[in-house]
Amino acid sequence: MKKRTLILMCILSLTLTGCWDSTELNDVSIVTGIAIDPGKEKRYRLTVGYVNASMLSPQQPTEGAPVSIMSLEGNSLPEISARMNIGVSRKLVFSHTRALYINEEVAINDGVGSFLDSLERNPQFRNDFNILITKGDPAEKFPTINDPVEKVPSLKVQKQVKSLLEGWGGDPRVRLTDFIDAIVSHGRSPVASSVTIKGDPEKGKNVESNMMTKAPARIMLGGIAVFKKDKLSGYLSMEDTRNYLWTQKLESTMVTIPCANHGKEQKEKLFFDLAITNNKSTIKAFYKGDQPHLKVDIYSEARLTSMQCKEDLSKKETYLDLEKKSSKYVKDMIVATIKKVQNEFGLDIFGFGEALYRQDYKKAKEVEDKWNEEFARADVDVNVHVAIRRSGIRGKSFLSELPASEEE
Amino acid sequence: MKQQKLMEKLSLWQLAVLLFTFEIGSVAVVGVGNDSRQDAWIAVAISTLLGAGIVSFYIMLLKRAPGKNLFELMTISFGKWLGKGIGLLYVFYFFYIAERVLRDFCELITTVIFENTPIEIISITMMGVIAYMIYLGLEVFGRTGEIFIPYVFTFTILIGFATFFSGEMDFKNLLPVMAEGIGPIIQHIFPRLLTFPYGELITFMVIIPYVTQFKKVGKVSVITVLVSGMIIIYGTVIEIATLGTEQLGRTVFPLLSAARDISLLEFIERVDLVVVFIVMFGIITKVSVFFFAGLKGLEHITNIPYRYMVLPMATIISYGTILISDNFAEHVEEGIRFIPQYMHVPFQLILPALFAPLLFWRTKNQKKGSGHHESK
Repeated sequence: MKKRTLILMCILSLTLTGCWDSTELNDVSIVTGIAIDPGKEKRYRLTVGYVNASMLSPQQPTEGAPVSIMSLEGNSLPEISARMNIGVSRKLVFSHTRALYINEEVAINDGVGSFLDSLERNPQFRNDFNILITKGDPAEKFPTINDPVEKVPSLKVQKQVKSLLEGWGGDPRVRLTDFIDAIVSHGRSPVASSVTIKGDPEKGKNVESNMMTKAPARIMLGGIAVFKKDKLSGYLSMEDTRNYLWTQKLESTMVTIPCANHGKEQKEKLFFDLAITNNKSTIKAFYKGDQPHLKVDIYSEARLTSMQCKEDLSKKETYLDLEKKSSKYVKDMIVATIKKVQNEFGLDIFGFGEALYRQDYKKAKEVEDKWNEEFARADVDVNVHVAIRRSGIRGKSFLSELPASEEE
Repeated sequence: MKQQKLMEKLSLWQLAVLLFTFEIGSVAVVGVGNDSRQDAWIAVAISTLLGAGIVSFYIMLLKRAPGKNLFELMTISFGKWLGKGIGLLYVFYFFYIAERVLRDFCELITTVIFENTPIEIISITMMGVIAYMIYLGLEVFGRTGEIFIPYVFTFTILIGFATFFSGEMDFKNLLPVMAEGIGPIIQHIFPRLLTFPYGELITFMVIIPYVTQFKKVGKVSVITVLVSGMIIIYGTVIEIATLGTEQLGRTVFPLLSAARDISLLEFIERVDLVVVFIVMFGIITKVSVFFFAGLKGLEHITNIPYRYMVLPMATIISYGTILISDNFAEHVEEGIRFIPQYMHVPFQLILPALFAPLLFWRTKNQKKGSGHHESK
């Protein structure tokens, strides 16, 4: 009996021999940024930035570059990344990728669809990295720009995007699956953030640049890039991006609104500031006869943060007046952005088509193939209600105590 | 042999646990399908009610001859030889479905976790565990279920909450409700949703006779089916709200994809392994039930105790798992087009409906006799 057990154990141990998928931590390099450029001979040129882990150790940081990059040309991303070990010592792990930089040339000429599929398919990639379209410089420069605060460039970009989104709202909050869903959708066109390098990327590559107080090169976020299916068709400004986000899901932002006219130029006006803290927006699309209508209802709560004019903030009427002014101002701003998108691109980035699909399924099915034209000719109606709740730790502004000499 | 059978007993709670994990097992891997798009949850709700009906039908059949399992019922109604012949078909059916269910799991593991490990290793090790458990008997199986059910249940519930609080759910994805009318929903329910996962409960016609309090079985099973139906609706709503119908149509393992989006406070992240745990336990239960049902059928046909056949049949199943389809697309396509129509419907609905009248007729006198016995 004992002998038999022994033999059985020996046989069973055979099934435990191989561990095909074991990888030791010191055999892998963690990729944080991926950049895609058009290749010279082949389809793409892929650049990966992977972390020098010992440099980031909190106890004994070693000297050296925080990340290292490697570029190769090839026809598809999995193929190139599999060949990366031509120049890289360790196996690359992509599950912690923070930023995907796409050269605008690739996005304009080739479309992004063909490589997004490989990212969606691969279980290593998570749905938590930012898709960024690079303007101006080639994408491969972006994973190299050093920053003294965040040692790893791509982590810096991700944090930057997140902080901007929370504080002001300049990023469309688009992740891989959202982007792909929008490509497939009939009622929404995809958008992504764009980035540029301000300064000299050659100098920013140096780790020594971290010693300077004014960084020689900096990655700056631009507005959103608008796509037609998977091809880039243009950009929106930062202001428009915020307005776009206002119709979607805005966390908080800041607007300055003129309260008194002293001239035509912006410089000559006087302003008051609102910090928007809470925001709710619903979008609707419907048909009146044959004419499509787009409707946005926005309700925002705000806190007054500065006052350049002399109105008395201890009175309720002043609040009402300012609320009226700001509602009108915000409304005009958002209408202008929607009109701009209608006229310049004719692409429904707001998701009105999806709203129509939810509200009037039959009509949506009817116009699904020509929705972008329908969107472009639609009437826009925006209702904004800004509610100013409080004004910081001062009521009346000291400015209102000043003698009204300049004003008559 | 009669003696041996009586030794094994299952409590009502154990039965409920097995039913529950059986129901949510495969559904957690491959989802309920995308046929009715954003209305899938309505389809699930309706088919849950129908499923409860099917289960009570099965139990009504069992009550005609207490203590007899599916194969014995068939012998009663069709006679010795025909009954055994049809029983053999059922044995093939049960083993084949066990192979398919195991294949679902192996595909999940080889795509998501062990990319380089041969799929054979996974199927052999899983089948090894299952064979050991079934060799030890139904009671061990029941107790295993009892041990794991709290984790499976809480993890399933928590996944929903975690995706919700990660802000990944968008309930607008559930709109429009019934945009194309009831048509697609009915097509989704019959034959797909009705047979998988509800009709598959026919395997429990082999297990239920071992339950100690046979009288309460009907009530317990129906309630369990309703509860597990609610969990499936819950899971389906999570999947639709998190992924949206477009993505749901493209994804291979929906619940896993939904769980990958979880990011709570940037601290609780990458919890997809929890889903793998739920799935693993669900699959172990499900394969074991089919495996046990098939073995019991063989026991009935050959008159050899089923324990002698555990190892050989387990070997066949773990090999057959690899053999049944060349690639994943084939596996899925068979599951959608072929299996429900040509296997599930005849075995789960048509055959039971056929032998039901025969069974009623054959047991008419016995019933009267036993009634007389009780009154005495």
